[in-house]
Amino acid sequence: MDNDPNQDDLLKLNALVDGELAPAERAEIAARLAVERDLARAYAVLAQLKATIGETADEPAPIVLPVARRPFARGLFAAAACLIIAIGLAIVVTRTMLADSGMESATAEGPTAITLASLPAGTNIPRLDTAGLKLIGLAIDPGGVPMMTATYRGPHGCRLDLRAWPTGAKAPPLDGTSRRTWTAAGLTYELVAHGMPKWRFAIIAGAAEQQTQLGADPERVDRRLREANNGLHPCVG
Amino acid sequence: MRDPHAGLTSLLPRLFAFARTMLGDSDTARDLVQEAAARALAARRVPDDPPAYRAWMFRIVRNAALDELRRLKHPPIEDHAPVDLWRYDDVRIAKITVEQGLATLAPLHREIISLIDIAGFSYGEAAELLEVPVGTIMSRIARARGALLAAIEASSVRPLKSRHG
Repeated sequence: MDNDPNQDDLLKLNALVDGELAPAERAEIAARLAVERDLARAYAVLAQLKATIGETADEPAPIVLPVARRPFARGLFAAAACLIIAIGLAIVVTRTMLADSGMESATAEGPTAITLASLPAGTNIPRLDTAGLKLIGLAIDPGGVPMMTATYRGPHGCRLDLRAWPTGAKAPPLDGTSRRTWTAAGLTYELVAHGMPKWRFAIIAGAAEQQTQLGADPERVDRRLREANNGLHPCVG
Repeated sequence: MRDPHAGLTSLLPRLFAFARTMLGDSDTARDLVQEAAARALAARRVPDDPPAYRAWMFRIVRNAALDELRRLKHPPIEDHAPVDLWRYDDVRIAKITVEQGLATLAPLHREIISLIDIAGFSYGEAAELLEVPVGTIMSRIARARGALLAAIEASSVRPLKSRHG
């Protein structure tokens, strides 16, 4: 293919996906992504690949320490190991169950939107991990209406679709149970939920909108996403 | 007094996923992590701060996994040919194809993908753990992901339509 990214570009795209580029390099490649379609597609592929690899790690760890053959002198260690690992498994299961219902504890890392200066140009992809929603899909459609679609999912069924397209264009309709639309930097964003309680969706949508705005306060966004983790309502519908 | 192993519980899922990806087998990974956790709990010297503890635990699991790979004498797997990355779409990059692709990668590639994408290490942390420069991590992860995409391309398996909702 004539427009293959070269090795240096691939290194940078991978580092961009991993959040490892220095601000200057990040700005430089973001500017190129805005005009180089193949580069933007390669970025989307890598982001999708990373998100999917992360999904493969979601299986709970079925770990129980064997204790039968341990000598008596090490019994305390074995008992402690069993206890800790049992608690660990309980936490894993609990987190898995609660994440989808909005009670997963927040991650230490504050949410920072991924900047995808591609199609459409300058699109921000909010991070919603703190609310228990992982980015699992990212697609760019350069068709009639250039559009970016990001899909988020909780471990037990909650799903959100975020679309962005140039303001003024008309996007095809997308079904859902709740939606919020806003504009930022010349783009129209639409966040659509499928079965999520409306109160929770409102909080998450607010945090997502803030992340697409210039000068958003990461701590405030983080607080809002944490608020969305204070409930026991699963996604139904 | 602070429990030096307070962070172990939250590490278990990632340790298991890391080992499973390295070894390509859930049962072996489970046994290996069990044993590593037991050894850690029995250790006399344990790192104090959480980042060092995490690196320490991953080092224990990694060394055990490498020993297991050596014991099994896995043949080195040739790198896949370079591919056109952007010919892929999000339908083809589905979980099942990724899992199968990971299983065909060389241990070095599985390891770096496990550390960065599954365990969540930064390049700097991975470099420290593997005792290589950060630049090596940067190029290694790029090569590994390229190899994974090539493996997905080479696979005859096509994912079912993913279920949403």
